[in-house]
Amino acid sequence: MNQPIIQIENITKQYYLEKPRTLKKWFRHLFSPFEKFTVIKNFSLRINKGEFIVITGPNGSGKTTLFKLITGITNPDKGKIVTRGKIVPLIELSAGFNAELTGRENIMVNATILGIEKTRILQIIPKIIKFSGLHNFIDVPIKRYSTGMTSRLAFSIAIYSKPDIFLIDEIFAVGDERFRKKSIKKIIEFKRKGVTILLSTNYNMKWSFIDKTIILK
Amino acid sequence: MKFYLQLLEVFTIREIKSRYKASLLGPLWIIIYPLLTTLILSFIFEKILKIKTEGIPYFIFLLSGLLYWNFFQQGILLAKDSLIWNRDLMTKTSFPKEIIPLSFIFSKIPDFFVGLLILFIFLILYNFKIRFEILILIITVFPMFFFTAGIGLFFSLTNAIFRDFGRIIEFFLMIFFYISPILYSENLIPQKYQIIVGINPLALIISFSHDLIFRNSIRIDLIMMSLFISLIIFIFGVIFFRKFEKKIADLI
Repeated sequence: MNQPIIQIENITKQYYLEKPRTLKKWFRHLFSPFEKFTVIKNFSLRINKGEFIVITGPNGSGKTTLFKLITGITNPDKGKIVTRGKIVPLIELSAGFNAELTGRENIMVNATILGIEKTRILQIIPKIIKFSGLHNFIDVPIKRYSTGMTSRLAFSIAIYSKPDIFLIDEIFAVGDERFRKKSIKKIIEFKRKGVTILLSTNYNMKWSFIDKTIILK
Repeated sequence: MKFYLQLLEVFTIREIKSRYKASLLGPLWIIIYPLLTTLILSFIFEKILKIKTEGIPYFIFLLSGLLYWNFFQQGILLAKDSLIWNRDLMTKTSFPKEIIPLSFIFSKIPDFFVGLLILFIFLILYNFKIRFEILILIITVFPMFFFTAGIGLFFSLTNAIFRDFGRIIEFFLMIFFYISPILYSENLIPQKYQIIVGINPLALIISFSHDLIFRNSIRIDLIMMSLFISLIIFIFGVIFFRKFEKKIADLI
Protein backbone atom coordinates (compact mmCIF):
# COMPACT_ATOMS: atom_id res chain seq x y z
CA MET A 1 0.00 0.00 0.00
CA ASN A 2 2.97 2.27 0.53
CA GLN A 3 3.91 2.08 -3.10
CA PRO A 4 3.95 5.50 -4.80
CA ILE A 5 1.11 6.14 -7.23
CA ILE A 6 3.52 7.70 -9.71
CA GLN A 7 7.10 6.53 -9.84
CA ILE A 8 9.46 8.28 -12.24
CA GLU A 9 12.98 6.94 -12.43
CA ASN A 10 15.80 8.74 -14.17
CA ILE A 11 13.92 9.72 -17.28
CA THR A 12 15.39 11.64 -20.16
CA LYS A 13 13.33 13.01 -23.02
CA GLN A 14 14.64 14.58 -26.17
CA TYR A 15 12.78 16.14 -29.06
CA TYR A 16 13.97 16.74 -32.59
CA LEU A 17 14.51 20.43 -33.01
CA GLU A 18 14.33 20.35 -36.75
CA LYS A 19 12.74 17.30 -38.09
CA PRO A 20 14.84 15.63 -40.78
CA ARG A 21 11.91 15.55 -43.12
CA THR A 22 13.10 16.38 -46.60
CA LEU A 23 15.67 14.49 -48.61
CA LYS A 24 17.97 17.52 -48.76
CA LYS A 25 18.09 17.76 -44.99
CA TRP A 26 18.66 14.05 -44.71
CA PHE A 27 21.86 14.42 -46.75
CA ARG A 28 23.03 17.44 -44.81
CA HIS A 29 22.60 15.59 -41.55
CA LEU A 30 23.85 12.26 -42.74
CA PHE A 31 27.26 12.58 -41.12
CA SER A 32 26.31 14.56 -38.07
CA PRO A 33 23.67 13.45 -35.64
CA PHE A 34 20.30 15.15 -35.82
CA GLU A 35 20.05 18.13 -33.63
CA LYS A 36 18.11 17.23 -30.54
CA PHE A 37 16.78 19.26 -27.73
CA THR A 38 16.82 17.78 -24.26
CA VAL A 39 13.69 18.73 -22.40
CA ILE A 40 14.01 16.51 -19.36
CA LYS A 41 17.29 15.06 -18.15
CA ASN A 42 17.78 12.40 -15.47
CA PHE A 43 14.61 13.34 -13.73
CA SER A 44 13.22 11.27 -10.88
CA LEU A 45 10.09 11.77 -8.84
CA ARG A 46 7.90 9.79 -6.48
CA ILE A 47 4.37 10.87 -5.79
CA ASN A 48 2.19 9.24 -3.17
CA LYS A 49 -1.51 8.75 -3.32
CA GLY A 50 -3.52 11.83 -2.46
CA GLU A 51 -0.69 14.31 -2.82
CA PHE A 52 -1.21 17.70 -4.38
CA ILE A 53 1.84 18.65 -6.41
CA VAL A 54 2.45 21.95 -8.14
CA ILE A 55 4.94 22.01 -10.97
CA THR A 56 6.32 25.36 -12.03
CA GLY A 57 9.01 26.56 -14.36
CA PRO A 58 9.40 28.87 -17.35
CA ASN A 59 7.99 28.10 -20.80
CA GLY A 60 9.75 25.17 -22.42
CA SER A 61 10.99 23.75 -19.14
CA GLY A 62 9.15 20.49 -19.69
CA LYS A 63 5.97 20.81 -17.67
CA THR A 64 3.69 19.62 -20.45
CA THR A 65 6.24 17.04 -21.58
CA LEU A 66 6.32 15.60 -18.09
CA PHE A 67 2.53 15.27 -18.15
CA LYS A 68 2.62 13.62 -21.54
CA LEU A 69 5.19 11.14 -20.28
CA ILE A 70 3.16 10.31 -17.17
CA THR A 71 0.05 9.81 -19.29
CA GLY A 72 1.93 7.67 -21.80
CA ILE A 73 1.15 9.83 -24.81
CA THR A 74 4.86 9.72 -25.53
CA ASN A 75 7.64 7.49 -24.22
CA PRO A 76 10.84 8.59 -22.48
CA ASP A 77 14.16 8.00 -24.27
CA LYS A 78 15.69 6.69 -21.07
CA GLY A 79 14.38 5.66 -17.70
CA LYS A 80 10.97 4.38 -16.78
CA ILE A 81 7.66 5.52 -15.41
CA VAL A 82 5.24 3.41 -13.40
CA THR A 83 1.76 4.68 -12.61
CA ARG A 84 -1.11 3.09 -10.72
CA GLY A 85 -4.71 3.98 -11.36
CA LYS A 86 -6.71 5.95 -13.87
CA ILE A 87 -5.03 9.07 -15.18
CA VAL A 88 -7.05 11.95 -16.55
CA PRO A 89 -4.87 14.51 -18.31
CA LEU A 90 -6.05 18.01 -19.03
CA ILE A 91 -3.25 19.08 -21.29
CA GLU A 92 -5.16 21.11 -23.79
CA LEU A 93 -8.77 21.50 -22.93
CA SER A 94 -10.11 21.67 -26.44
CA ALA A 95 -8.06 18.74 -27.76
CA GLY A 96 -10.93 16.30 -28.11
CA PHE A 97 -13.42 18.79 -29.47
CA ASN A 98 -14.72 18.89 -32.98
CA ALA A 99 -15.63 22.44 -33.98
CA GLU A 100 -18.58 21.44 -36.17
CA LEU A 101 -20.34 19.45 -33.47
CA THR A 102 -22.49 20.93 -30.74
CA GLY A 103 -21.49 21.13 -27.10
CA ARG A 104 -23.72 18.20 -26.24
CA GLU A 105 -22.32 16.02 -29.04
CA ASN A 106 -18.81 16.91 -27.98
CA ILE A 107 -19.50 15.88 -24.39
CA MET A 108 -20.05 12.34 -25.65
CA VAL A 109 -16.76 12.26 -27.55
CA ASN A 110 -14.67 13.97 -24.91
CA ALA A 111 -16.07 11.96 -22.03
CA THR A 112 -15.33 8.76 -23.94
CA ILE A 113 -11.73 9.86 -24.47
CA LEU A 114 -11.49 10.42 -20.72
CA GLY A 115 -12.63 6.85 -20.21
CA ILE A 116 -16.19 7.29 -18.99
CA GLU A 117 -18.68 4.57 -19.79
CA LYS A 118 -21.58 5.38 -22.07
CA THR A 119 -24.40 4.75 -19.60
CA ARG A 120 -22.64 6.97 -17.08
CA ILE A 121 -22.10 9.72 -19.65
CA LEU A 122 -25.83 9.85 -20.31
CA GLN A 123 -26.39 10.20 -16.57
CA ILE A 124 -23.86 12.95 -16.02
CA ILE A 125 -24.63 15.11 -19.07
CA PRO A 126 -27.12 17.29 -17.12
CA LYS A 127 -24.58 17.73 -14.30
CA ILE A 128 -21.86 18.67 -16.78
CA ILE A 129 -24.11 21.23 -18.43
CA LYS A 130 -25.06 22.64 -15.04
CA PHE A 131 -21.48 22.95 -13.83
CA SER A 132 -20.32 24.55 -17.08
CA GLY A 133 -23.21 27.04 -16.96
CA LEU A 134 -23.66 26.75 -20.72
CA HIS A 135 -27.38 25.93 -20.85
CA ASN A 136 -28.10 28.32 -23.69
CA PHE A 137 -25.16 27.24 -25.81
CA ILE A 138 -25.12 23.49 -25.35
CA ASP A 139 -26.82 22.74 -28.69
CA VAL A 140 -24.70 25.22 -30.63
CA PRO A 141 -21.58 24.11 -32.56
CA ILE A 142 -18.37 24.56 -30.56
CA LYS A 143 -16.96 26.82 -33.27
CA ARG A 144 -19.36 29.52 -32.05
CA TYR A 145 -18.02 29.28 -28.49
CA SER A 146 -15.54 31.70 -26.98
CA THR A 147 -12.24 30.29 -25.71
CA GLY A 148 -13.40 30.60 -22.14
CA MET A 149 -16.64 28.78 -22.86
CA THR A 150 -14.82 25.92 -24.56
CA SER A 151 -12.51 25.39 -21.62
CA ARG A 152 -15.38 25.62 -19.19
CA LEU A 153 -17.13 22.80 -20.99
CA ALA A 154 -13.97 20.68 -21.16
CA PHE A 155 -13.16 21.18 -17.51
CA SER A 156 -16.72 20.35 -16.52
CA ILE A 157 -16.48 17.02 -18.36
CA ALA A 158 -13.14 16.21 -16.75
CA ILE A 159 -14.33 16.65 -13.18
CA TYR A 160 -16.91 13.90 -13.69
CA SER A 161 -14.36 11.40 -15.03
CA LYS A 162 -13.51 9.89 -11.62
CA PRO A 163 -9.73 10.04 -11.91
CA ASP A 164 -7.18 8.54 -9.54
CA ILE A 165 -4.56 10.90 -10.90
CA PHE A 166 -5.56 14.28 -12.26
CA LEU A 167 -3.07 16.19 -14.41
CA ILE A 168 -3.98 19.83 -14.93
CA ASP A 169 -1.86 21.83 -17.31
CA GLU A 170 -2.06 25.63 -16.95
CA ILE A 171 -5.76 25.83 -17.31
CA PHE A 172 -6.37 28.55 -14.79
CA ALA A 173 -5.37 31.13 -17.32
CA VAL A 174 -8.85 30.78 -18.84
CA GLY A 175 -12.39 30.97 -17.59
CA ASP A 176 -13.89 33.89 -15.73
CA GLU A 177 -13.45 34.62 -12.04
CA ARG A 178 -16.64 32.86 -11.00
CA PHE A 179 -15.83 29.71 -12.88
CA ARG A 180 -12.27 29.74 -11.55
CA LYS A 181 -13.47 29.83 -7.98
CA LYS A 182 -15.93 27.03 -8.70
CA SER A 183 -13.17 24.93 -10.26
CA ILE A 184 -10.75 25.47 -7.41
CA LYS A 185 -13.44 24.41 -4.98
CA LYS A 186 -13.94 21.25 -7.01
CA ILE A 187 -10.22 20.51 -7.02
CA ILE A 188 -10.04 20.89 -3.24
CA GLU A 189 -12.94 18.45 -3.05
CA PHE A 190 -10.93 15.99 -5.16
CA LYS A 191 -7.99 16.39 -2.87
CA ARG A 192 -10.15 15.53 0.11
CA LYS A 193 -11.38 12.40 -1.64
CA GLY A 194 -7.79 11.24 -2.03
CA VAL A 195 -7.27 12.00 -5.69
CA THR A 196 -3.66 12.66 -6.61
CA ILE A 197 -3.38 16.01 -8.35
CA LEU A 198 -0.56 17.47 -10.40
CA LEU A 199 -0.99 21.04 -11.45
CA SER A 200 1.38 22.93 -13.68
CA THR A 201 1.45 26.69 -13.61
CA ASN A 202 3.55 29.72 -14.28
CA TYR A 203 2.31 31.50 -11.23
CA ASN A 204 3.50 31.20 -7.71
CA MET A 205 0.73 29.37 -5.92
CA LYS A 206 0.46 29.72 -2.20
CA TRP A 207 -2.39 27.45 -1.27
CA SER A 208 -2.28 25.73 2.06
CA PHE A 209 -3.16 22.35 0.64
CA ILE A 210 -0.14 22.10 -1.66
CA ASP A 211 2.03 19.20 -0.53
CA LYS A 212 5.03 19.81 -2.72
CA THR A 213 6.22 22.30 -5.31
CA ILE A 214 8.58 21.12 -8.01
CA ILE A 215 10.51 23.67 -10.01
CA LEU A 216 11.70 22.63 -13.45
CA LYS A 217 14.39 24.60 -15.19
CA MET B 1 -12.93 -4.38 -25.10
CA LYS B 2 -16.28 -2.80 -24.35
CA PHE B 3 -14.58 0.53 -23.95
CA TYR B 4 -12.76 0.01 -27.25
CA LEU B 5 -16.06 -0.46 -29.03
CA GLN B 6 -17.46 2.64 -27.35
CA LEU B 7 -14.49 4.66 -28.62
CA LEU B 8 -14.98 3.28 -32.11
CA GLU B 9 -18.70 4.02 -32.03
CA VAL B 10 -18.37 7.52 -30.65
CA PHE B 11 -15.63 8.49 -33.08
CA THR B 12 -17.48 7.03 -36.05
CA ILE B 13 -20.59 9.02 -35.15
CA ARG B 14 -18.45 12.10 -34.61
CA GLU B 15 -16.99 11.72 -38.09
CA ILE B 16 -20.32 11.09 -39.82
CA LYS B 17 -22.07 13.95 -38.04
CA SER B 18 -19.35 16.49 -38.67
CA ARG B 19 -19.06 15.45 -42.32
CA TYR B 20 -22.55 16.59 -43.21
CA LYS B 21 -22.80 19.58 -40.87
CA ALA B 22 -21.62 22.19 -43.34
CA SER B 23 -23.19 20.56 -46.37
CA LEU B 24 -26.30 21.56 -48.28
CA LEU B 25 -27.24 18.18 -49.66
CA GLY B 26 -25.92 16.38 -46.61
CA PRO B 27 -26.36 12.61 -46.59
CA LEU B 28 -27.93 12.77 -50.06
CA TRP B 29 -24.35 12.60 -51.29
CA ILE B 30 -24.31 8.96 -50.25
CA ILE B 31 -26.77 8.30 -53.08
CA ILE B 32 -25.50 10.85 -55.58
CA TYR B 33 -21.85 9.80 -55.45
CA PRO B 34 -22.10 6.18 -56.65
CA LEU B 35 -24.70 7.05 -59.28
CA LEU B 36 -22.69 9.92 -60.69
CA THR B 37 -19.38 8.03 -60.80
CA THR B 38 -21.06 5.05 -62.44
CA LEU B 39 -22.81 7.27 -64.98
CA ILE B 40 -19.63 9.08 -66.00
CA LEU B 41 -17.52 5.95 -66.30
CA SER B 42 -20.21 3.96 -68.06
CA PHE B 43 -20.53 6.67 -70.70
CA ILE B 44 -16.79 6.64 -71.40
CA PHE B 45 -16.21 2.91 -71.32
CA GLU B 46 -19.45 1.71 -72.88
CA LYS B 47 -20.16 4.34 -75.51
CA ILE B 48 -16.63 5.42 -76.42
CA LEU B 49 -14.32 2.52 -75.66
CA LYS B 50 -17.06 -0.09 -76.20
CA ILE B 51 -16.04 -2.59 -73.57
CA LYS B 52 -17.85 -5.94 -73.77
CA THR B 53 -19.18 -7.57 -70.59
CA GLU B 54 -20.75 -10.89 -71.60
CA GLY B 55 -24.09 -9.26 -72.37
CA ILE B 56 -24.45 -7.77 -68.89
CA PRO B 57 -25.74 -4.18 -69.02
CA TYR B 58 -22.60 -2.14 -68.51
CA PHE B 59 -24.13 0.36 -66.08
CA ILE B 60 -25.08 -2.34 -63.63
CA PHE B 61 -21.84 -4.22 -64.12
CA LEU B 62 -19.88 -1.08 -63.30
CA LEU B 63 -22.07 -0.21 -60.33
CA SER B 64 -21.46 -3.61 -58.72
CA GLY B 65 -17.68 -3.11 -58.82
CA LEU B 66 -17.59 0.60 -58.06
CA LEU B 67 -19.45 -0.05 -54.84
CA TYR B 68 -16.36 -1.73 -53.46
CA TRP B 69 -13.96 0.61 -55.13
CA ASN B 70 -15.65 3.70 -53.68
CA PHE B 71 -15.41 2.28 -50.18
CA PHE B 72 -11.77 1.33 -50.62
CA GLN B 73 -10.71 4.62 -52.17
CA GLN B 74 -12.63 6.89 -49.84
CA GLY B 75 -11.57 4.86 -46.82
CA ILE B 76 -7.89 5.15 -47.73
CA LEU B 77 -8.15 8.86 -48.55
CA LEU B 78 -9.86 9.62 -45.24
CA ALA B 79 -7.50 7.44 -43.22
CA LYS B 80 -4.34 8.94 -44.70
CA ASP B 81 -5.21 12.40 -43.39
CA SER B 82 -7.03 11.31 -40.25
CA LEU B 83 -4.06 11.71 -37.91
CA ILE B 84 -2.98 15.02 -39.46
CA TRP B 85 -6.49 16.41 -39.06
CA ASN B 86 -6.57 15.23 -35.46
CA ARG B 87 -3.13 16.34 -34.41
CA ASP B 88 -4.39 17.54 -31.03
CA LEU B 89 -5.87 14.16 -30.25
CA MET B 90 -2.56 12.51 -31.10
CA THR B 91 -0.39 14.79 -29.00
CA LYS B 92 -2.64 15.75 -26.13
CA THR B 93 -4.96 12.92 -25.27
CA SER B 94 -4.50 9.34 -24.26
CA PHE B 95 -6.45 6.44 -25.79
CA PRO B 96 -5.68 3.76 -28.42
CA LYS B 97 -5.00 5.98 -31.40
CA GLU B 98 -5.73 3.42 -34.12
CA ILE B 99 -9.33 4.29 -33.31
CA ILE B 100 -8.89 7.47 -35.35
CA PRO B 101 -8.15 5.98 -38.79
CA LEU B 102 -10.38 2.98 -38.09
CA SER B 103 -13.37 5.15 -37.22
CA PHE B 104 -12.86 7.21 -40.38
CA ILE B 105 -13.02 4.03 -42.45
CA PHE B 106 -15.93 2.73 -40.39
CA SER B 107 -17.84 5.90 -41.15
CA LYS B 108 -18.00 4.80 -44.79
CA ILE B 109 -19.77 1.52 -44.06
CA PRO B 110 -23.29 3.05 -44.12
CA ASP B 111 -22.42 4.40 -47.58
CA PHE B 112 -21.57 0.89 -48.68
CA PHE B 113 -24.89 -0.52 -47.55
CA VAL B 114 -26.79 2.29 -49.22
CA GLY B 115 -24.80 1.49 -52.36
CA LEU B 116 -25.77 -2.15 -52.06
CA LEU B 117 -29.41 -1.10 -51.81
CA ILE B 118 -29.04 1.07 -54.91
CA LEU B 119 -27.55 -1.93 -56.71
CA PHE B 120 -30.52 -4.10 -55.72
CA ILE B 121 -32.94 -1.45 -56.97
CA PHE B 122 -31.17 -1.24 -60.31
CA LEU B 123 -31.11 -5.03 -60.62
CA ILE B 124 -34.88 -4.97 -60.31
CA LEU B 125 -35.17 -2.07 -62.77
CA TYR B 126 -33.06 -4.02 -65.25
CA ASN B 127 -35.37 -7.02 -64.84
CA PHE B 128 -32.80 -9.25 -63.20
CA LYS B 129 -34.24 -12.18 -61.32
CA ILE B 130 -33.58 -11.38 -57.69
CA ARG B 131 -32.89 -14.48 -55.69
CA PHE B 132 -32.53 -14.85 -51.99
CA GLU B 133 -28.82 -15.70 -52.36
CA ILE B 134 -28.09 -12.14 -53.37
CA LEU B 135 -28.12 -11.24 -49.68
CA ILE B 136 -24.86 -13.15 -49.32
CA LEU B 137 -23.27 -9.99 -50.73
CA ILE B 138 -23.58 -8.50 -47.23
CA ILE B 139 -20.69 -10.64 -45.98
CA THR B 140 -18.33 -8.99 -48.46
CA VAL B 141 -18.22 -6.07 -46.05
CA PHE B 142 -15.78 -8.02 -43.84
CA PRO B 143 -12.86 -8.60 -46.23
CA MET B 144 -13.50 -5.16 -47.72
CA PHE B 145 -13.25 -3.47 -44.34
CA PHE B 146 -10.19 -5.39 -43.13
CA PHE B 147 -8.30 -4.84 -46.37
CA THR B 148 -9.05 -1.10 -46.41
CA ALA B 149 -8.31 -0.76 -42.69
CA GLY B 150 -4.96 -2.57 -42.90
CA ILE B 151 -3.73 -0.34 -45.69
CA GLY B 152 -5.38 2.73 -44.18
CA LEU B 153 -3.60 2.22 -40.84
CA PHE B 154 -0.26 1.96 -42.61
CA PHE B 155 -0.77 5.08 -44.71
CA SER B 156 -2.22 7.14 -41.86
CA LEU B 157 1.05 6.82 -39.93
CA THR B 158 3.46 7.18 -42.82
CA ASN B 159 1.61 10.14 -44.26
CA ALA B 160 1.68 11.86 -40.87
CA ILE B 161 5.50 11.83 -40.88
CA PHE B 162 6.31 12.08 -44.56
CA ARG B 163 3.75 13.84 -46.71
CA ASP B 164 5.38 12.13 -49.70
CA PHE B 165 3.15 9.18 -48.94
CA GLY B 166 0.20 11.29 -49.98
CA ARG B 167 1.66 11.23 -53.48
CA ILE B 168 2.51 7.54 -53.30
CA ILE B 169 -1.09 6.79 -52.36
CA GLU B 170 -2.28 8.45 -55.56
CA PHE B 171 -0.23 6.01 -57.63
CA PHE B 172 -1.19 3.14 -55.41
CA LEU B 173 -4.88 3.87 -55.85
CA MET B 174 -4.56 4.34 -59.60
CA ILE B 175 -2.83 0.98 -59.97
CA PHE B 176 -5.39 -0.77 -57.80
CA PHE B 177 -8.26 0.72 -59.76
CA TYR B 178 -6.97 -0.70 -63.02
CA ILE B 179 -5.83 -4.10 -61.77
CA SER B 180 -9.23 -4.76 -60.21
CA PRO B 181 -12.02 -6.01 -62.48
CA ILE B 182 -14.18 -2.92 -62.12
CA LEU B 183 -14.22 -1.55 -65.67
CA TYR B 184 -13.78 -4.94 -67.31
CA SER B 185 -14.83 -8.48 -66.55
CA GLU B 186 -12.37 -10.75 -64.75
CA ASN B 187 -12.87 -13.22 -67.63
CA LEU B 188 -11.13 -10.79 -69.96
CA ILE B 189 -7.84 -11.09 -68.09
CA PRO B 190 -5.36 -13.32 -69.97
CA GLN B 191 -4.41 -16.54 -68.22
CA LYS B 192 -0.86 -15.46 -67.40
CA TYR B 193 -2.10 -12.37 -65.54
CA GLN B 194 -4.82 -14.16 -63.59
CA ILE B 195 -2.56 -14.01 -60.55
CA ILE B 196 -3.45 -10.31 -60.29
CA VAL B 197 -6.98 -11.28 -59.34
CA GLY B 198 -5.84 -14.29 -57.33
CA ILE B 199 -3.98 -12.37 -54.65
CA ASN B 200 -5.70 -8.98 -54.71
CA PRO B 201 -8.39 -8.98 -52.00
CA LEU B 202 -10.37 -6.25 -53.72
CA ALA B 203 -10.38 -8.09 -57.05
CA LEU B 204 -11.40 -11.29 -55.28
CA ILE B 205 -14.37 -9.57 -53.64
CA ILE B 206 -15.47 -7.98 -56.90
CA SER B 207 -15.13 -11.30 -58.79
CA PHE B 208 -17.14 -12.99 -56.07
CA SER B 209 -19.89 -10.42 -56.36
CA HIS B 210 -19.92 -10.57 -60.19
CA ASP B 211 -20.21 -14.34 -60.06
CA LEU B 212 -23.01 -14.17 -57.55
CA ILE B 213 -25.04 -11.49 -59.32
CA PHE B 214 -24.49 -12.29 -62.97
CA ARG B 215 -23.45 -15.95 -63.15
CA ASN B 216 -25.54 -17.47 -60.39
CA SER B 217 -22.54 -19.11 -58.76
CA ILE B 218 -21.42 -18.76 -55.17
CA ARG B 219 -17.63 -18.91 -55.16
CA ILE B 220 -16.92 -19.37 -51.47
CA ASP B 221 -13.24 -19.98 -52.30
CA LEU B 222 -12.90 -16.42 -53.64
CA ILE B 223 -14.40 -14.74 -50.59
CA MET B 224 -12.45 -16.95 -48.15
CA MET B 225 -9.18 -16.21 -49.94
CA SER B 226 -9.99 -12.51 -49.86
CA LEU B 227 -10.82 -12.62 -46.16
CA PHE B 228 -7.63 -14.53 -45.43
CA ILE B 229 -5.34 -12.06 -47.23
CA SER B 230 -7.26 -9.08 -45.87
CA LEU B 231 -6.91 -10.26 -42.30
CA ILE B 232 -3.16 -10.75 -42.70
CA ILE B 233 -2.85 -7.21 -44.09
CA PHE B 234 -5.05 -5.88 -41.29
CA ILE B 235 -2.99 -7.58 -38.56
CA PHE B 236 0.21 -6.22 -40.08
CA GLY B 237 -1.38 -2.77 -40.20
CA VAL B 238 -2.30 -2.90 -36.53
CA ILE B 239 1.14 -4.18 -35.45
CA PHE B 240 2.86 -1.49 -37.50
CA PHE B 241 0.60 1.19 -36.07
CA ARG B 242 1.06 0.10 -32.46
CA LYS B 243 4.81 0.00 -32.91
CA PHE B 244 5.15 3.56 -34.11
CA GLU B 245 2.16 5.41 -32.66
CA LYS B 246 4.11 6.82 -29.66
CA LYS B 247 6.83 8.13 -31.94
CA ILE B 248 4.21 9.91 -34.02
CA ALA B 249 3.14 12.03 -31.08
CA ASP B 250 6.61 13.61 -31.18
CA LEU B 251 6.95 13.88 -34.92
CA ILE B 252 3.53 14.82 -36.27
